[in-house]
Amino acid sequence: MAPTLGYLSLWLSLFFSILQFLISLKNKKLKLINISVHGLLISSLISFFLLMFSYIISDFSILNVFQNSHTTKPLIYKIAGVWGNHEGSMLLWILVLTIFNYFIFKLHNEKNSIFILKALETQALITMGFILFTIFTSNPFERIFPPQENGLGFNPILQDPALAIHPPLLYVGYVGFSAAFSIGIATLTSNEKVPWYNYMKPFVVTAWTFLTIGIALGAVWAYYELGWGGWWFWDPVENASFMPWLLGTALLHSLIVVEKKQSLQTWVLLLSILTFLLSVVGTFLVRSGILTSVHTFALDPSRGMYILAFTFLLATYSLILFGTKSKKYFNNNYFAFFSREGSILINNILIVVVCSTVFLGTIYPLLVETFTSNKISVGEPYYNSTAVLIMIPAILIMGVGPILSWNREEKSKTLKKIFPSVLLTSVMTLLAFSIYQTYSLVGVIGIILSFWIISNNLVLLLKKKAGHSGGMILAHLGIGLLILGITGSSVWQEEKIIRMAINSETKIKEYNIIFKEISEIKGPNYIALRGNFLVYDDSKNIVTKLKPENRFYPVKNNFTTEASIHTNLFRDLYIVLGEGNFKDGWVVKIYYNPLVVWIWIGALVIFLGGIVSTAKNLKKLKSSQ
Amino acid sequence: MTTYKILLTNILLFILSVSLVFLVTNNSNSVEPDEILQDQKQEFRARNISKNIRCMVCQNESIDESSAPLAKDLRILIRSKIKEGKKDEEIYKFLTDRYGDFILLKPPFKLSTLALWVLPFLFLIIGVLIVLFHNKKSKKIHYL
Repeated sequence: MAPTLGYLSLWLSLFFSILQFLISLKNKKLKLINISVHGLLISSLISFFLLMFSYIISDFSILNVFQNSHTTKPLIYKIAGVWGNHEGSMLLWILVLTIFNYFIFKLHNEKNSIFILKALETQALITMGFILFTIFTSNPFERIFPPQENGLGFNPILQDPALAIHPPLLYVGYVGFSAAFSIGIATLTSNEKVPWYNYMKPFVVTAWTFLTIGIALGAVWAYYELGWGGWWFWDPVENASFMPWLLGTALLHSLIVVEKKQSLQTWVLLLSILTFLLSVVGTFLVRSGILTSVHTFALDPSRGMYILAFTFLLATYSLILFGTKSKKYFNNNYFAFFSREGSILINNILIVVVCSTVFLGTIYPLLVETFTSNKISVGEPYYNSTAVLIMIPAILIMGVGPILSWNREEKSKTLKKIFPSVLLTSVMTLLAFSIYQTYSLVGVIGIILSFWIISNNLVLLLKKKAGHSGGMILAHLGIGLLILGITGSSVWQEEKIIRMAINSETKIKEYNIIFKEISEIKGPNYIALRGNFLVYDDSKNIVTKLKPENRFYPVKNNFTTEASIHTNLFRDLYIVLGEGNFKDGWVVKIYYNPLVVWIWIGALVIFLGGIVSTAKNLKKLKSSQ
Repeated sequence: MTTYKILLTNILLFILSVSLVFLVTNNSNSVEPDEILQDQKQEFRARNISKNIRCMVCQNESIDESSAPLAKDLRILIRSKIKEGKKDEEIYKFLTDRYGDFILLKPPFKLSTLALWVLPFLFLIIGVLIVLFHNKKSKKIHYL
């Protein structure tokens, strides 16, 4: 019953999206628009929750549930199973599209009617494209005859709380940029005089905020699940989310310039188009299976071709529109290097360069493989010597940008303004190196950049009267903390890889670690070997007990390692249990990861800054309506 | 549910957990203690090279991070080459001769990768030019 209804409801969403498209095209009957927007939202909610319901009751007459679930799976992972696979995640895409569609509609009033209908037209078109894709290539409600006794399970490595909520957050980000795209297209096609940038900004800030926390949770997951202490790998799938994040960041900042100076309007329109296109390209890369990477599970060329064609059409349409219509928004407001808008412009350009580099690195192996008989890999070392390098000046400018005033800044005045932060940065940098006592170029640069951002924003925080946005200060502060964590963990990491017998002891930094015992435990849908390690500090006080596990999931015949981590503000102690036996001992990998927690704190602070900013922008929009 | 069934499940779980101890051998992760060279400098070189070498059977992992048997073989191979007194370049060359450029995580600079290496910096130069152009124009307007 549920699958039939869910499938029907999906067709109903297709109907409503077509209806919305046709009516907004003719832009007449508001009542019908109202019905179609609500109908679209409700019907996609119904199909989404019916799939969730089928997962919860383990309805194995549905192919998708059969392939991705199992009765022994804990409830939260049954729910997360909905979007843990291709078909279900497309349903989530559609749901988020329709939610943003609804919020665009909420902007509607008598003055902006024509404009909003234009935006709804584009949003309906995008929604139609994804519903058609889902129905014809990735139907989540496909039945299986006869219904199965039990499901095939779920990749245990994905069975994790951080990863369970990672996709919805990421999708709010990706798909949120669709609203910016639709508003951008409406701005290009309509001749209405409306504050389009005020409409666009809350969507951009929301999408950016959620994309940030979504990416961060993916990194958290990689950190404790993949078992070698890393958290970012420049994997193509990670890049697919990082590229829209970069362009979204550029868009967010240049929108401020539009707001304040009515400048950079064409640039913002271009960015709003490109950001969403990159989100769709990212979906194409991930979903088509064209990349061979950790996250790719589905391989089906028909899907790839559909999204490729869809992306191509969307790109051609929007870019031609931009080429022909954007002239009317062009103005000759050139501005100086030494001003706040100047710093935003420079950083926008640097961000776009970084984004192009990441794009190049992501697709280049595909190009080489297609056009030559050769095959190449583009991995972390490439990005470190290109993208990361280009980010350094951007971060320096980011520190000073908010301190500069609009229009023009005297150079001597700038020096006076940045004096406290230069002083603070120097002191903090010296302090950091006197603690860690190892020097490397990367370390020095990282620490200086981090304290440069932190101290500049602390200065801003103390100087309340300047009227800086609290969300901005928070988000920038978060970036500073993030860089601190990244630098600490990559420069001062120490590792120890040894074979330990029961009751043997080892030392890492100031800690003594005793391997006490190993035991077998039974989890809800796995069994595991669990090591018990006692950690003592140099004055022989017990610090913590660490219990890394090796899990075996019988349903999928699959192993995972669960690292055990003790965190404080200065360092993580990270233990992974490897292979072994009672006679020779077990392979144990111990990492001393300095400052890692600041990566997560930083990301969280950025997220909070985003939330504050979203709230402020929404309030501003409401009061202007 | 009979007691018989519960007993059976428990026996099954017991067998599973016992076999787990043996099965876990497949689940070693990355560099293992037995591989590590005594000479710290040599080991450091080996680790550095390993970080730039792709695990051919994995997805976007270096052999330093990978637990695949092939990655282990390559780690041991690199260490034995270092012990033989081979230079880093010789080891890289040996590996690319055998496996092709695909094995390098940092693609080599050659004709087919020209765009990959040049374009980012070309973009950067163009960007800087745009900024300078903007700055110049703004000065003109300012002095008018």
